[in-house]
Amino acid sequence: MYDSGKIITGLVIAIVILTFPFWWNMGSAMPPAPDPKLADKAKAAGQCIYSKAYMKTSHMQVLDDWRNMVVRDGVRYTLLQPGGDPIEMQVIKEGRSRLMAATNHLQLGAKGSQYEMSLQNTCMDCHSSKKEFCDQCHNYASVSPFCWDCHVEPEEKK
Amino acid sequence: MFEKTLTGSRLYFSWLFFLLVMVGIGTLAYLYQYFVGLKATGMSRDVSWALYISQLTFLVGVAASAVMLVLPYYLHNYKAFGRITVLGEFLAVPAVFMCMLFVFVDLGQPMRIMNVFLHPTPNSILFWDATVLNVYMFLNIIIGWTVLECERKAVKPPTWVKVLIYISIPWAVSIHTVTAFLYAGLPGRHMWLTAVMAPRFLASAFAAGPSLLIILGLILRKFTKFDVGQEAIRMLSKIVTYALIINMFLFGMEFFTAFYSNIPGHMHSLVYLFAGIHGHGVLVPWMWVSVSLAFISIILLVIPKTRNNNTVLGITAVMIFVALWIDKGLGLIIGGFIPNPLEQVREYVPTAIEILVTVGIYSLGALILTLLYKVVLSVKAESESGKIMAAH
Amino acid sequence: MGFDRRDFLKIAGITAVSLGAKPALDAVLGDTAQAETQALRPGVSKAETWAMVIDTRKLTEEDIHKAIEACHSEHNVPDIRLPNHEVNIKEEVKWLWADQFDHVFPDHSQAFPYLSEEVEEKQFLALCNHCTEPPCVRVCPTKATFKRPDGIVMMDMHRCIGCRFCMAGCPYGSRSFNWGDPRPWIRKVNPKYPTRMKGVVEKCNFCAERLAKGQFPACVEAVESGALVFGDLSQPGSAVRDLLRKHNVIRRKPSLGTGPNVYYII
Repeated sequence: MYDSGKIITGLVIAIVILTFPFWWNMGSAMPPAPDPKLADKAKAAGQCIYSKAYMKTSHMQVLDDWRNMVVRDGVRYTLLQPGGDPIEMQVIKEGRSRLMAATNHLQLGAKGSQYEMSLQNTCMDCHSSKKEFCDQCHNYASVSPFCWDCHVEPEEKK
Repeated sequence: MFEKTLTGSRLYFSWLFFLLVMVGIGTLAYLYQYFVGLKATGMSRDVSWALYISQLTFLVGVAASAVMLVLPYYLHNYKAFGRITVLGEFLAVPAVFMCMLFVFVDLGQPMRIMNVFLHPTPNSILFWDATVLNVYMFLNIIIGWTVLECERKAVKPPTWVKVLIYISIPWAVSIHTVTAFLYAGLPGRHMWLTAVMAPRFLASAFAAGPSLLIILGLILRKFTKFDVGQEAIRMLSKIVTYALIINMFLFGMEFFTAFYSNIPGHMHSLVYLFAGIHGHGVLVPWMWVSVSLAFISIILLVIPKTRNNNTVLGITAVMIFVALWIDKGLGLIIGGFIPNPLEQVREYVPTAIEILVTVGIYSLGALILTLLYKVVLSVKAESESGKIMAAH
Repeated sequence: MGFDRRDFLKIAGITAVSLGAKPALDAVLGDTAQAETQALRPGVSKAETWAMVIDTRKLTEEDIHKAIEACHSEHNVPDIRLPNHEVNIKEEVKWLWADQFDHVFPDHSQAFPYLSEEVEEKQFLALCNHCTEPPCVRVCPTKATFKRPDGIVMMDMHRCIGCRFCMAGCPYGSRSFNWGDPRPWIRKVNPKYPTRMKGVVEKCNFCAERLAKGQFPACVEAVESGALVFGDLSQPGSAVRDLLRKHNVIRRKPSLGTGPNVYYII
C-alpha cells in the first residue's frame, strides 16, 4: 500500500474522534430519568387539553399547529363543543388537511371548553414551572427548543 | 481533476495558506456576530442594508460578466476567447458563491434560510434572486468542468453542454436584472426607483467583470506559464471601454433627472453622496474618487496607445474595478437609505467585525478561484503541450 | 454488461426527484388552504379593513406619551439606550412613535420659511399603516409578513429569516429589527405577551391579540380624549367611516399607491 504510514495514522485519528462519545463517557453513571413535576394548578385540573399519552408524543406538533393557526390563520381560540367536533375537526373533514396533520389529538380533548391556543397563557398557566416540568425531559434528551427565546415563561417560585 | 489542486509551486501554497488564515479570521468574526446579533455591524434601523448586501450586488455583476467571454465565442465564433471561456465560467462560480455567503451572513436568522424554498413566494424578488443565483452557479460549474474535462481527454464537448451554454447567456443577464429588481421596485426609496437601474447594473458589470478578467489574465501571465493571449486582452479592453462609457452615461442620466426636475426626493440621496447633508458626508470623498477614477480610465481606454499598453491597461483595470466597487459596493446601497423615509440623515459606517467578515468571504472566494484556476492551468498545460507534441 | 454505473445513477436520480416532488408540491400548493380557514373564527372580531383615524387637533403631547407607553409596555417592546441614557437610534425598536410634520408627511412638506415654530414642531404619531397594497408583503421572501383578510399586515416571527427586505420596502420607516437580544432592554416584561428574539423584524400589529378578545388596540384605549379612533372601513356605520365623512383627512405618502389605512385629521 502506498503512503501506508499516513493512511493508517489518519485512520486511527478518525476512529478516535468518531468514537469519542463512547469512550469519554465510559464508566460514568447513567443520568437520572427525567422527573417532571406537575404544578398545583395542573394537578387540580386533573387532565390536560389532550391526553397525557398524546401530549407526550405530540406536544411539539400541537404547538406547531397552534402557532400557524393563531398567527397565520387568525384562529386564536379553539372550541370543543360538548358532544360535537372541535373546529379543527370540521376543517379536516372538509378536506383542508394542511391545518392538522395528525387528526388523533383532536378527539382526545376535553369536551365543552374553549381555550386560547397559547403556550405562554394556556399551557404554562397550569404547568407553571419550566424548570420542574419542561426542562426535565428536554435536558435529558438534550433538546433546546427556542420557544422561550420569545415566549415568556412564568416566573419561577423560589 | 481535483488532484491538480494538490500539486503546485511554493508561491501557490503560500497564497493558499494566506487565504486560509484570512478565512479563519473571517469565520471567527462571523461567529461573534452570530452570537451577539447583527448589532455587531454598523447597520441601523435606518440603514438596514449595508456592506454585506452591497458586496452581493457588486459580485453578482462580476459573476454575470462571464457572459462577455461566452457570448462572443459560442454565438459568434470569436476564436481568441476560445481558450479562456472556462476562466470566465470559473470566475463566475466563486463570485456567485460569495454572493450567497454575503446573504447568509446578513440574515438575522440564518438557520431559517431554507424557509425561502419551503415557502416559495413568487411575488418576492428575493425568492427569484435566490433561485437564479443558485441555478447560475450550477450552470457554470457543470459547463466549466465538463468543457475542461473534454479538453483533457481531447474529445469534443457533448451536445447537452452546448444547450446549457446557450441557456447561460441570457441567464447571466437575468441574474443581474433580478438583482436590480430588488431595488428598482421599492416605492419608498427614490434613489433606486428608476428604470435605468437594471441597465446601469449590467453596464457596470460588463465593465468591472472583464476588468477583473484582464487583471487575472495579466497576473496569470506574470506568475504562471499560461498566456491568455494578447488578442483576448485587447478585445476585453474594448468591451470594458464601451461598457464603462455606457455606465457613466447612465449615471449622468440619473443626475439630469434628479436635478433638472428639482424634486427633493430624487435629489436628496445624490446630494448626500456627493456633497453631504447637514455636515453628514462620510461617503463624499469616496464618491468623488470613484467618479474621477472612472473618467480617467475612460480617457486611458479611449486612447489606443494607453489601452494597448499592458502595464497601463493593468493599472486602468484596477482603477475601474475600484471605481465601480465604490459606486455599487458603497454608494448605491448606503445612499439609497439616506435620507431615511422620514427625511432624516442617519449615517452608516462599517464596524471592524463587518469588515473582517467581508474580507473573510472575499478570501474564501479567492481561494476557490485559485483552486479552480489551478485545475484549468494544469489541464491546459497538459493538453496544449500534447497538441504541440502531436503537431510535430 | 447489462446494468452499469451510468444506468444506476440515472435511476437513482429519477427516484430522488420523484421522492422530492411531493414535498416540493406541498410547499408550493400548501399555503392555499390557509385562506379558506379565515371564515371560522369564533371569538375573533371579524372585519374586512381595520383602520385608524387620528384626530391631530385633539391629540396632546400627554396623549402621545400615554399611547406609546401603552403599546410598548403591552408588547414587550425594548427600550434600547446608549450608555449616556440617550435613545440608541441605531438599534431602537419602536412600534408607535411621534415626530414633526415634515418627517411624518414629507410629501406634504411644510418646509417653507413662514411657518411658526410651534406648528413646525408639533408632534404627530407614526406607526405601521397596515396598507391595502403593502410593499413589505410584496417583497417578503417567506411570507413571514402577510396581509390577513381582516386587513392587518401581520408578522410571523417564527418564519422571519431576518433578511430585512421588508424594512427596505416600507416607505414609512415603520419597521424595526432586533439587532441584538431585546430582553435585557425590556423595562417590565408583560407575562401575557411574548417578546421577540434577536434577528427578526417587528412592527405594530394593530393589537391583533386584543382584537381577538374584542378589545380595542392598546394605544386607542390609552388616549382617553378619544383622539384615536379605530374601526372597520368596510362597515358604513363604523366610527372611522363616520369621521371620514365629516372631516378632511390626509395620509402619509399617498402618491406611492400603498393605500395606507391610518388617516390623520389635521
